[in-house]
Amino acid sequence: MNLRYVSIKLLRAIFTLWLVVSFVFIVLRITGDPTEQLLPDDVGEEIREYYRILWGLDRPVWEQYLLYFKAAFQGDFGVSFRNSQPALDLIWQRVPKTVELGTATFVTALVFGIPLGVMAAIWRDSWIDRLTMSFAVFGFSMPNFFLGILLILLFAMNLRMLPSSGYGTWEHMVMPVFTLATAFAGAIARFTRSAMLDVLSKDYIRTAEAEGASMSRRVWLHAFPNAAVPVVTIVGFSLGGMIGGAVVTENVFAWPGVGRLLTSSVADRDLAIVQGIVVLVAITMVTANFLVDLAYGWLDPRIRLGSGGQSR
Amino acid sequence: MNGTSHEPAPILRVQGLAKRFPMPRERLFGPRPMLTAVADVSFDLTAGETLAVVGESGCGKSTVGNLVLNLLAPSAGAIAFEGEDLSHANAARWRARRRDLQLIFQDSRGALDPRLTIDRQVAEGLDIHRIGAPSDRLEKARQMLDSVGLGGHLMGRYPHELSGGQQQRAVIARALVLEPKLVVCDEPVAALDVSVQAQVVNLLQDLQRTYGLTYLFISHDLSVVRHVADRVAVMYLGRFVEVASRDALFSQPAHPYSRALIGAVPAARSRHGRRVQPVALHGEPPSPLFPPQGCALNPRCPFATDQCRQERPDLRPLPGGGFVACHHVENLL
Amino acid sequence: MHAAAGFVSRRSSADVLSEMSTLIDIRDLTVRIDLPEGPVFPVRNVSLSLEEGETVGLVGESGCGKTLTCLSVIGLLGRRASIESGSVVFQGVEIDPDDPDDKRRRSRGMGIIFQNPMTCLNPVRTLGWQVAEAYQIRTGESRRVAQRRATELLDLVGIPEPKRRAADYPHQVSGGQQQRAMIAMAIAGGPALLIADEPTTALDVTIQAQILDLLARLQREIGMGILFVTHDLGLVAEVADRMAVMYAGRVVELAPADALFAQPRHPYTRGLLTSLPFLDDDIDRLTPIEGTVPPLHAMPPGCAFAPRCSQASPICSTPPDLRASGDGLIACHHGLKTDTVAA
Repeated sequence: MNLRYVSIKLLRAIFTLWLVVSFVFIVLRITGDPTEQLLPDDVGEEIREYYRILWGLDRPVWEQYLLYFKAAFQGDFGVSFRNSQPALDLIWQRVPKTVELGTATFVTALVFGIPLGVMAAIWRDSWIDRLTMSFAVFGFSMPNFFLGILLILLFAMNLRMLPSSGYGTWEHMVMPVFTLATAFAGAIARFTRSAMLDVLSKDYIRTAEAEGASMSRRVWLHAFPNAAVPVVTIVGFSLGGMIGGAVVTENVFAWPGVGRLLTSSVADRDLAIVQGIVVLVAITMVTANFLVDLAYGWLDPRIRLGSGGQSR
Repeated sequence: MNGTSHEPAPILRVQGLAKRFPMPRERLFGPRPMLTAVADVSFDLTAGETLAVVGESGCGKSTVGNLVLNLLAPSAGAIAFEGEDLSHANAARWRARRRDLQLIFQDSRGALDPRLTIDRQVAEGLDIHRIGAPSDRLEKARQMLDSVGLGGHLMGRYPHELSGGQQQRAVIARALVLEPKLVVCDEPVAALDVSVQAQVVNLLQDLQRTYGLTYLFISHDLSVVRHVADRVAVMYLGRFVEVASRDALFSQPAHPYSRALIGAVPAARSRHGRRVQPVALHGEPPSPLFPPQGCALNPRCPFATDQCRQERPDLRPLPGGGFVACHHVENLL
Repeated sequence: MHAAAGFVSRRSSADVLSEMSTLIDIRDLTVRIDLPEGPVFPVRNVSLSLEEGETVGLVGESGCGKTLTCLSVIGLLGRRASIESGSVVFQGVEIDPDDPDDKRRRSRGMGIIFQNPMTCLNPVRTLGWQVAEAYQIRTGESRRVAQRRATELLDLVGIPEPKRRAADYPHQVSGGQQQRAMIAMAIAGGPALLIADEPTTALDVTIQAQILDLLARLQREIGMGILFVTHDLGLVAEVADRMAVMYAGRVVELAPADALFAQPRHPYTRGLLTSLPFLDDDIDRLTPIEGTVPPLHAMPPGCAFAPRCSQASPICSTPPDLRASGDGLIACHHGLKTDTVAA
């Protein structure tokens, strides 16, 4: 792949991260004395002073900024006041559970969303198309918490087929994954459909048809690789929405992930943890965008090889 | 207009015009490659004449038109219009002169605002340049539309209600209602069908006679150029390679590239068969990003010698009139 | 008139002898497109045949139905358009647009190239991949054989360094090379018929000449028939044996190429030729055809050209049939008068 392309995208990702981390620093300074934010209300003035010196708040701002950055680089976001453990350790315990939920959701959404979108485009205006589009509208107009509660009522309360909440077996995963994946799959199906409709009307698809290429060949070998570029874009964008959805879904199903930690930390004003999660989410998003950019280059030779400089 | 011109002052004088476009870097901190779209182009236009610029796509002929109209800023060179040097003119000065310099281009559909009826659209130019009393402008626009053949009920229509030829007429009316002196016609008939193309060619010629217009006529269609032009400039890779009167060029093109271009026109487009023996060029034009050393045509030219591979020929006058940029033109004629 | 009689009998007969050399026979073809405002018929009662190894030029302005005629022949009409009536017989067998076996037969026996090679090539596949695929689908050969053949085909269509170019993507090569690659794909199966729909319109004039030379060479080598569709009368006169002129969905004149050019008989063909500037005349004004083509939903009931025709008379309100005139056929009520005028 074009080294210049990758290095530009990488620089951009690093720059974005720097902006986010700096933003957190600035917000913490302008919202007042961090000791008031990060320590419980009932500690005495000596203890505050001790922490001020410990956290370096007595030093000049630029030095604080450098120290803050050094700490952030080492993953040191401070100590949770609730149980005095480093914030990062607490967050890191939860990460695998959220990753588990996210990966399952991601795979489910792709496995359903892409084929549905492709089929809707091939048989445009047929019942498959209408059904898929109705599902898509249902998916992203239905709020996560409401869909989750409906599922609990139906499958846990009435039918008693699945556990209503908690973590452990695959059965615990079914409803949270379904809740989260519905909206995601709907968005993917919809975008896959419109991207495929666009590509299927292109001249090169007609060329392939003239050669006698079968329908599946035209769709999967000719059209889909072209339609994948806009689909990858929407998958990248949807990741942000999915993180938001995960916070709600984890709470509805009492899933012990990062989202749940975030809500409880916000409620308890455990700012060290909140700060850590914000940075973690930012890293995730920036990484996802970087991967989307790489995927563009991989999918589209015009981006990978550049448009200028015809070889002859 | 004035066929008996004894060295009249040119209405437009272009000297050493050049345009370079910066391209994306190949490497992150590598040098920025420059694409030379137009290099060292000079010509005079006499009032009332038609100079055609011909060449293949990407040769820079449209860029010349855009530079003359200041729609692109030249990288080098001077443009004088009616004796006034416009190369250092500021935006306000250009706005004032824009009225005299108008453009008609190929995509008439894209050039028209779909939400305005065409009479309003033509009157808009009068509003912008504050020409005449506001109350008279629509009337003036309608007269102009009438004279381009869009009379009666057609003038109240929206662009999408018109055919391609009618849209091109509306574009012409919009340019000419400002009473310009010089009109750059950039492939004005390329998108039209043959039968309609002839209507628009006739219209452009009629309007030239009526209003004494000067045309810079940019086209790839040599038979149309043969029909409308007084003089022709042949362009290759951003440079003029031959400038000659129409009759001289089409009966005895001097530059190998001109001969290739004219010779490639199907024989059936001449009533009495091909007069110009075609020169077969090898391959295709190189990318303007990597122009060949020496004469730009040398890798394709069957007459190329070592001299052509090393030295770039200048545009120089020929004994029989006209200018040509070829080292070997005397031996080839 | 003797020649014309031969022309007519060859076209209308169903005798076995002529069937053997007739490559494609379009009989009374009408194409329908369903629009929200109702159906329109952009191709109406078109009859045209093409012999093996022959080049027929199909000429007309945009929207005259020439491209739809081609697409009906190769079975690419798409969702909105369909054959309303008439038939297309390819190599003696009537084509069936819905039969997959017949579709396979057609894709093996025909190749098609279009106006704009840039949009007709898949941007995310290499030239070699696309040519190999075209060969593989039609012959059922293995991928490896197809890849080797693709390089040979790229060489055959005059692409220099075919091995290296095979690894290039379409955007990396020039328009002329793209069109050569398209031609390689179209001839990959050794077709009996090549449909060339405005194959040089998007190309520069010097490249255009190269592509025409290439098509002529391939025709000699492969022996295929070519249906050459274009709006450019001058161009088609260079390559075609016979020419059909279409106007508003109908064939209005059919004649040997040189005869049509030397002595056009239909008023529309004559109008086209007077509209066209020639490289060597010194006429002051062109003589265009006045007016515009009637829109599809408002076709006049009789001769579609009548509203623009200087010879129109009351009889033109009934549709004229194609009938013999000179060496060819014209669809004009005033044919005889045309003959005397032209002579």
